[in-house]
Amino acid sequence: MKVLIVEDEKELSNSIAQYLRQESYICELAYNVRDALEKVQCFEYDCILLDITLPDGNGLKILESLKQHNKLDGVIIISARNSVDDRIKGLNLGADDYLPKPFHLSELGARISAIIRRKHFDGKTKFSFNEINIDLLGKTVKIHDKPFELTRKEYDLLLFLISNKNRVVSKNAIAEHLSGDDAEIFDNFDFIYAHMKNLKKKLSDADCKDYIKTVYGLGYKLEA
Amino acid sequence: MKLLVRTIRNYALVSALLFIISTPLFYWAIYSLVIKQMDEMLQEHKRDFVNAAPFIHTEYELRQHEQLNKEFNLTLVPHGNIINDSLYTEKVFDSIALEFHPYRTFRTAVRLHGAVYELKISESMVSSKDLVMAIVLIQCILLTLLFTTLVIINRQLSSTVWSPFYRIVDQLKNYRIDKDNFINLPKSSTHEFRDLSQAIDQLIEKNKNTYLSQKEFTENASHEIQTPLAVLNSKIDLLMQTELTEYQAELISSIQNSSQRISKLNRSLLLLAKIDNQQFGERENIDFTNVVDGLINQLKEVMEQHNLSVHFLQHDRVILHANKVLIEILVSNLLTNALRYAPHHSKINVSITQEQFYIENDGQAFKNASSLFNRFSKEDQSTFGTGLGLALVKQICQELSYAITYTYLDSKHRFTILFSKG
Repeated sequence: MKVLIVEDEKELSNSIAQYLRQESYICELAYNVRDALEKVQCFEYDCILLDITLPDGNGLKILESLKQHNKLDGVIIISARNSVDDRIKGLNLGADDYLPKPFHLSELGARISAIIRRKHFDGKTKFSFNEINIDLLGKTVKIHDKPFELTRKEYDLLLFLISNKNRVVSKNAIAEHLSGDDAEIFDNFDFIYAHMKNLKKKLSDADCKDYIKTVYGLGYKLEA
Repeated sequence: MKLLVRTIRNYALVSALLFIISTPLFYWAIYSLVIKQMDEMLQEHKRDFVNAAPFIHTEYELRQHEQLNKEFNLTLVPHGNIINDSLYTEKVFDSIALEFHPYRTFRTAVRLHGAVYELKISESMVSSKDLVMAIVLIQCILLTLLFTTLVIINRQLSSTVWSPFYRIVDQLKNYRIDKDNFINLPKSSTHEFRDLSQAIDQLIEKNKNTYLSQKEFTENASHEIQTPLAVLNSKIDLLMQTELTEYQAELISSIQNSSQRISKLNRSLLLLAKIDNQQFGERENIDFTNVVDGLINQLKEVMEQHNLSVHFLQHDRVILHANKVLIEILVSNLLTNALRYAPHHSKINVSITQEQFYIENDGQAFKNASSLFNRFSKEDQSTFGTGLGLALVKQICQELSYAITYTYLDSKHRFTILFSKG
């Protein structure tokens, strides 16, 4: 899987690259519009992370060029300017997703794998992780080919963990992923613990291997 | 007190005073003039009589003369009595009109054929007195007329002269630095008002610039903070992937919580700045009731956890012409506030009508309810909120021209939004 990271803040693009490489993504970096355009024209990418504010111009230029060459690789716009206008403009130009800064790397990871899944299974909406079969369209799960009952939140949680497999996912990131801004209502993570407990219990009841490990004090990790 | 009233009042006071003083003075002046005139006339009469005296030879002729000149009264004065000339006013009973009339009398002595007569010449003052009264009356009427026209003219003049001033005031009253781009002050030919207009224009220009740069600053600062925050967050995420001791994990966890808080705070600040900068100008018809229902549905899980329930007192279908994003933030902030502060196992009352929307939850009274809507005013520093939630609510209400009120009654906090500010 090849990912192009177009981001002028080197520290941030290094972090992203490092995080993605852990899950064997091949990452290339571009720090400005010129380099990005060059790379985009020469190579194919599975996913492009695009910052809009770049030193030598607007990142949306790259999006336009991609659209012209009909090479709309899955583009995720990452922007500090979380404005409705930018979002709409970006999505209209063919971007697949919009992620405002700052974000959790695990959230970015989940979005990237969602895009790559969509690209690679074109048409097919199912994918599997060992004995776990997930139908993305119907949002249903089968384990050992048997239907597996999950609540909506539990499904989201499972998918989030699988998308970030082999990496520690923090409670904060899970809370934000599951409930968006509502996560700030209460200053505890009780509801995550509850969901996680239920999910783990259901998985073990369905004879699924215990993939989800608790990382003390930090969060959880799904180990393949 | 209005400037006009003040000037007119001063005019009126001075005029009344002048009026009160001048009327008796005037009366006295005219009256003494008349008396003087009369006295001269009486003395004239006496001279006439003295001139005519050589032609009066007999007592009979004398009495005839007296008869002819009714104002004359001659009395023989016994020898040795000396009569000094005197002028005085006396009251004489008029047997026809049955009342006393004032007479001006000149008492003097005349020598006639060796005898001394006392000569009294009297002239009725009735007509003169009437004249004086008439003059004074006319004078009074004239003064009153003059005074009234003065007031009227003054009033009219003032309203025309001051009209640029009132127009300026009107404009300033309606001016809002966050709304209007410029102010159209009336051009006046009056020097003072032109100065005033210019001074106001300059003041507004200066304030506008300060306001704009401050507004931009908040937004820019928030934007600039996003990138380092993103770097910080990403590094924390990476650090988590390494082998860690329990102690290190704890440290990282608390670092992450703090950075999370900064992120949220910054997001709220940015949102405030954006509303300030009118980036939510779009309006559409929104099913408000649907928005509320949807948000309550989203929060169902949280409510179940804390055994909270929402109870609708009124649930009308309300369509608002507003900005969807703002309405969602508004309702969500009020709802989450209610959820956050309501005691477990309690009920949250919600009412939606065409006129208003309110959310009510149990809880203890706030210590400083007056600063509730201020930025960063928190009841309890330990709570998790950003301290911007209600500030956002207020800002949104301002932007959408709604009125928001807070009341505390029967141990219940109630936030009411009136859709038509009126």
